[in-house]
Amino acid sequence: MADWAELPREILQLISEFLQSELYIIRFRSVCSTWRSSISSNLHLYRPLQLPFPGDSMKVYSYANTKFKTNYDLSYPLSKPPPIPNHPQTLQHPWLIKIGPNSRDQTHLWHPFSREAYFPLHAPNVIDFNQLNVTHLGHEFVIGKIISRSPNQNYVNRDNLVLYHDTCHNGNVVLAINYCGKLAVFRCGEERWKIITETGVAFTDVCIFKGRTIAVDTTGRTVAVGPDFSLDLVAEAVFGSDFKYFVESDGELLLIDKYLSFDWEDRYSEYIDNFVFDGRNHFSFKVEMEKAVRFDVFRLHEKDKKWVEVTDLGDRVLFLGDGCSFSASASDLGVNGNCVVYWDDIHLEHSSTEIEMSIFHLDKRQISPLSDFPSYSKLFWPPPEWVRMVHN
Amino acid sequence: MAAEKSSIKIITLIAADGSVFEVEPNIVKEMKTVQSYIDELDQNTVSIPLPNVFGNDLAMIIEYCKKHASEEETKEAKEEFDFEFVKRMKSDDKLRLLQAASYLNMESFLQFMAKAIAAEIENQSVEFVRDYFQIESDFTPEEEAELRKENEWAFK
Repeated sequence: MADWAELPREILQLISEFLQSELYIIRFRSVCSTWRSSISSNLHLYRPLQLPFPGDSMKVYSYANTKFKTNYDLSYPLSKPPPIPNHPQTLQHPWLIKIGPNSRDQTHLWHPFSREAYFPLHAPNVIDFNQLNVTHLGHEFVIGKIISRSPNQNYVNRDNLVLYHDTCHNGNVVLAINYCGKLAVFRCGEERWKIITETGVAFTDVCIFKGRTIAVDTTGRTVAVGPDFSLDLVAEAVFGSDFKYFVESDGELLLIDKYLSFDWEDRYSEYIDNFVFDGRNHFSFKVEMEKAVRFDVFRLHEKDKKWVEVTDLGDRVLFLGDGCSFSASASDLGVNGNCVVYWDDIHLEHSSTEIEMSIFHLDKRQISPLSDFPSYSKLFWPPPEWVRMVHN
Repeated sequence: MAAEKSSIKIITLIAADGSVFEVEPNIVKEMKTVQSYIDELDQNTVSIPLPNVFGNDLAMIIEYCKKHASEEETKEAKEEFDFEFVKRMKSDDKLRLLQAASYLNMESFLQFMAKAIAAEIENQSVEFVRDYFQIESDFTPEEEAELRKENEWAFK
């Protein structure tokens, strides 16, 4: 039998290169001293970058730091349940969290759907990942607040960005969508963004799938961006609504088509001037609300270059948050699958942990508040009992 | 010399357990260890002993090489094959195949196996990985403390 502690350093490095998350690397380095010394703790892609933002003249106006946030599914290892008397049912249910830095580089636990809402942990505010099963569900690439003297149409949309390593040119590249819906790329080290689509339908989402950088427009027409920024057809249009999002599920690429209704809703605030005083110490104002009314889900058929409608997701649950989407196995989460969990209010700033989420069941084609389904809503907040136990 | 080499029709590979595999030269191109034997030998038929690879594993590697060397197979068919190949492997198979890939010096198969092993261990605890690779922790108490610190994340 081979001595795996003595695996050649190159092979250990090769394996570690395929580990998707910082936590997995830390764990890999915790196995034995040879492994520890073979693998560096720094991930080359995950360090903050400085990116310039193009102005009218395509010159550099400002820089913003970029960071990664990662969605995780945490659960206590089934083999060693912590003893919590009288709470056997709360033991095993997992917790969906996002880990990442805030603007001051402090690590927070975030609501997986939000860029603003973080989960406050009470003392001890430490989680020992060594004791937990951690599943990496996805990561998002976030550009910090853009400070610029000249806001203009060349700005990229902060919700739709991917960073990838271009092996042909051995450098990192950011693919984004600008505010006109055009695709923009930025090669790290260069000084300007390059718009690579001039005319046509607006793009709505970008992703990396099987090593290819892929973008979809409002019709569903999907293209891959080559190393020379040429576009290759990946799938023909499916039309439908204007809001299309990629989500990877079990090795497949799915497209979520979200149909919205627009409505005006009363909002109250204590802070805003210039609005009607409603007599109850609040100011009321109307905001336009987008509400999802229906979702269609498609699966990429790579060979036929087509999106094929999916009516049954089986064991999968899809999650659609603010600038991020991910999927998970329903049985791992202890819920029923075949549904989309989403959040309507993505354009409002939410700092509360109580984000009102909704769920769309594909079988009944019906939308309900997530709070009607406690087995799903408890995956977010409050944290499961075992979180408190992990440190004791 | 070049003409002689191209006249080699069949390569015979002999696994650790004595099982014999006859393959065409294009199948072993990826196996740099085997290829260097062939380049050194000056014969029409060659038989190469591979004392570090078991017959079952060699059969799987040859199957993989055949599929990937084929020009008739589409990229999609090869991806589908890879997907099924990973599904078929048990945990032990993966480790033996990784080792065989390393011994045979097969670059792309080694990458493929490293990826499969990364997928196997990435959601697992440190204890699981130690059991899987049959590795004992050899850290000093000071290192253990350092590790614990690294695994514990404080949140604001």
